Order: sequence, then structure tokens, then C-alpha cells
Amino acid sequence: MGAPMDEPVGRVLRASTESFSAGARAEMLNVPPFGQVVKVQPREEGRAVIYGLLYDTRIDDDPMVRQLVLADTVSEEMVRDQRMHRITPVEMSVLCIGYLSAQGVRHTLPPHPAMSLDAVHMCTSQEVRAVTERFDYFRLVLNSGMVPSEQLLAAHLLLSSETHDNEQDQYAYLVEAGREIARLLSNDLPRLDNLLRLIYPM
Amino acid sequence: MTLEFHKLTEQVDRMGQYFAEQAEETEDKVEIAWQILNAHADEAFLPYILERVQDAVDKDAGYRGARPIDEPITQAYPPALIPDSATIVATDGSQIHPNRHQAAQYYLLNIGTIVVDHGSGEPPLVSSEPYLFYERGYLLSPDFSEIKATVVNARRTVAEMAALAEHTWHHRGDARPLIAMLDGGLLFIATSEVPDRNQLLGIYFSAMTRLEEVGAGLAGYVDRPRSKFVARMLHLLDMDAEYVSRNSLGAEGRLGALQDAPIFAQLLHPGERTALFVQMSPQNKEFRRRGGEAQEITFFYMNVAARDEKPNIVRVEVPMWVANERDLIAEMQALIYLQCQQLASSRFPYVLTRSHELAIVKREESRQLDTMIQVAMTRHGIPGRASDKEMGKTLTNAVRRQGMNGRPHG
Repeated sequence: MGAPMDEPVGRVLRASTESFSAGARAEMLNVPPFGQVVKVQPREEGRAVIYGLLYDTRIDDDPMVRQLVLADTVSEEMVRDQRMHRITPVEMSVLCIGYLSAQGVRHTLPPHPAMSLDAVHMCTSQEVRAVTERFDYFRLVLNSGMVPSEQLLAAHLLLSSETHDNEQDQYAYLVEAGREIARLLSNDLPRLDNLLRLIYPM
Repeated sequence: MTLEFHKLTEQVDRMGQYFAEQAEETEDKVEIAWQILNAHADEAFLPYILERVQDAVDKDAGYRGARPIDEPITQAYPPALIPDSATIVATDGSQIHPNRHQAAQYYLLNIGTIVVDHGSGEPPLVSSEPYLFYERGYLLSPDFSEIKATVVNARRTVAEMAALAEHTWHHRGDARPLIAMLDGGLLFIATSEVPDRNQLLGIYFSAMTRLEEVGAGLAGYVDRPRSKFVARMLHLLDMDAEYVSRNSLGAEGRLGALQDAPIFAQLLHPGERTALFVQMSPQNKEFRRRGGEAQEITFFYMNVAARDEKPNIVRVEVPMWVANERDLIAEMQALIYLQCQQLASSRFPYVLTRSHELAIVKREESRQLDTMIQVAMTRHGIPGRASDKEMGKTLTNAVRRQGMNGRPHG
């Protein structure tokens, strides 16, 4: 999935307790996929590691990029110049789903928001399993008005299931998650039906 | 008070009408220009043209027109095939002029450079170098008056050429042809109000010599040229030799204020160039005297429009050492044309667009630098504060920006 885990995939541009945005160079080799669990590693001690789900990736334009897009021929050197050097960052939006406390991962909003320029990393398989061991954050995702919640949760579960060793464990994980979703959406059958279809193993 | 546009409607309309009439007049003059050109089209006329130019120079008639080098003047010259590999270096600069209303007197030069390894698929190398000037020697003239903006501009021009030579020198072992580009003409003109004029000229010539030593194709790119060098030559050819004088050359004649670009818009297909010419000016004479024959500035016009567009004529200035290498000129032409096709609607070389972008100091950055300077002064026990006028202007400008955008910046 791109860059080594110890290399940040971006740095925090702006943040609130509920969510944050991270910026990265437009050379998109290491942008995590939609639904991926990422973490914010604080620069100072005393602030908690924050976990979140990547729910949107934006690539901004500017007048020069618009001109290049419309040109008949653009050389490879110019494309790489735009991606490497010009200030047109890829912007990733992340919904916070928990933080690391002394007792382990807590699925509530973090006590403090992330700070500008904190490094954002993709979580390792081990970390993803630790964060997704319990499903207490599902309600947070399903109730969030700012994200495409069903699509996000489905993409996240499919990605997270891959951190389990074999197909049987992956299936068991998805069934377990499906049960929790059924409990949470018992009074909203169309949404439940949609979400279960999205995570049903192919 | 903002600009009251409704009071301008009528004036703007009259302006449009005026320009339409001017365009018609230009068409008539271009026709006359081509009659004169065609009368001297044959290569056999070249010695005659050179003789007429020399005659005007000998008569000290203030001739400021063109002198063909050795090519027929009505011919169009196609570019070479685009080279598989090449190195293109481009430099541009910007400045913050001294402002006596700021907390401290200073000026800043910022020089941006891009180096493209054409054909490699690799991203270009980009850099920008800021230089801060705050000592009295830089800010005051010998008579202790404050330097003018023209002095800062002259120093910026020299810094651009020096940076271009420096970067090109570092890449002398890279792919050939090696093209070194600047935005604007190559004739460095510093008036007498530039106190270090001679020193600057020395640096400028050293940089050009360095470029010559590495065999770089140095080019000054002039977008939307307003020059009349060739039109003046045609005016000269249009009169009998016996009538050539300062008065007759200074008069408008049949061609009036016609510029060269519309003349060659009729000749050049996309990518093609005109013959090479020398600028006959006192500045170029001085260049030749100080830098030698190889550094005399020559030029050609070329059409950088895309295949289906109206002609877009630009002037490219090259020193004589480049003009003497016609294969290099043809490759340079091909690369400049390619550079001008990178953006959809702007026919301006990509490398110059980027070097400008790397050099430009935005207003916000300028304000941040002022704040940095104020903080540094305060740290060293000196009260750093902009004048009340400056602070007032900052406030009103901020209010206007908020008004325009509907919300405050940031």
C-alpha cells in the first residue's frame, strides 16, 4: 500500500475534536485508501495518539494546473514538476474514531484535537486489529453527518478484515461486524440492508 | 471610494472604437512594409541593405533599426526536430523595493531558477534564492540620496544573469543542447542614476562569458514585442540615400509607428522564425565594445502560436556566439516552441512561467518579512515600527479585500 509505515502520509493542516485534514505532496504514491485507519502521532508528550478513518481525498487545482489539463501535449517532466514542486497539496479528510489511553484504545472522541503539522501515519496491521477489535466506534461513523457513512464503514471493514490471517478469520470478523451493524440499524432496515450487501464477501 | 464603472462606460466604448481604427491603419502599413520587403527579397540585395545601414551609421543619423546578418530578410526558417534530450535552464527575479515607511530601510531580490532535463521524464530541479540588502552602501547613492527603483531593477537584472550562468555552469556536463533562458531582452541598460553601473556591467559580462565558455544557447525571450527595428530598416530603405539624416530617419514616413510583430505575422507559420538581425543601438555598440563581437546582441522573431491559432509573434534575443551556430538556433527554436505549447491558452515558455512563480514575492510574504524584521529589531533593542501612513494603508487595503471577497483573508 505505498510508503513504509514509519513514514508519514501527510501532516495535519487543520483539526477539530471530531475530524482533521492532512496535506501531502501531490505525488500520490503513499496516499492511503478510502476507509483506511490512520493515526496522528503527536509531536509532544502528554497528547494522545488519535485514530481515524480516511473518508475523503481531495486534489486541488489552480489556474496553472487547469491550463496544463487543457493543453494538447504535456511533457512528463512538467507533470512531475507540478506534482513534486508546486504547492497543490493532496488533502485528506479523516473522521476521528478514538484515541490511545493508558488503558488501551478508547472509541470516543479524543480529549484534544490534533495539532497543525502533526504527522499522520497509516496504521500497521497490528494497530488496525487493536483499533477494530471492538466495534464501539460504529455508532460514531453511522451518526456522523459529514461522511458517506455506509460507504465509509463498508470500505473500512473490508480493508480491516484483510488484517486477519486467513479467509475463515476474515469471514468471522465481517460476520461479527455485521451483527453489530444489525443491532445499531435495527430501526433503519434500508440502510442496514445496503451496508450488509456492501460488506458481503464476494 | 471605489471605481465608479458607470462613469467609464462611454470612455471605454470610445477606446474600443479607437483601437479598431488603429488596427485598420496597421493593416495598411503592413501592406506597405511588405512592398518594401519584397523589393529587397532577393539574397543579392543583402550587400545593398548592409551598405545602406552602414551609410546611415557613418552619417551619424541616429539609426536605431535592424541590420541583417547574412540571411535573406523575407524568408521563414523552420525549427529543427525536437531534440530527444536537452537541458533547459531558466531564471527570473523579483524584488521588494525600499519603502521609507517601513520599520527599516531595505530591499530584497529573489531569484528563481528551474532546470529541466528534457526527455528524461525526471522532475525539474527548482530553487529560489532571496538576498536581503540593508546596509547604507546599498541603499544610498554617492550623494547620500536614497536609491531609486531603477537601481534595484538593474541589480536584479544582473543577479538574474549571474544566477543563470551559475546554474548553467553546474549543468555544463548534462544533455545537449544546453539552453539558458531569461524573461526579457539581453541588452542590459543601466542609466547614470545607477551608482554601481560599471561594476554591474562587469558582472553581467562575466556571466555572459561564462555561458559562452560552456557553449550554452543563451536566449532572452520578449513576449508581445513592441520593437520597430525592422520597420525602421524598411523606412531607411524606403528613402533615397542622399536624404538620410537625423530628421528624415526620425520622421514617421509611410510606415508611421508600425511595429515589427504585425509585419512578420503574415510570414511565419507556427514554430518558424525570421532572419537574424543585429540591433543597431548605442547600447549594443557598447556591448560589442566591452564584451567583444561574440557578445553583440542579435535577434529574430518567431511565431509561437499553436497550429490552429492566430499568429503570436515573440522576439528572441541571442548573443552573436549563438547566432553563429545555426543548428543550435534551430534546436533552440524547437524547444522554445515546445515550451510554449505546454499550457492551454498561454503561449509563454513553461520554464519562464515557473521561474517567475519561484521568484515572485507575494504581498502576504512581503508583510511577513516586514514582521520578521520588526521582531528582530525589537529583540536587539531598537523600536521597529512602520510609519502611521503605512499602517493606515494596510488597514484600508485589508478592509477593501474583505469587502471584495465577502470574508476576511485566512
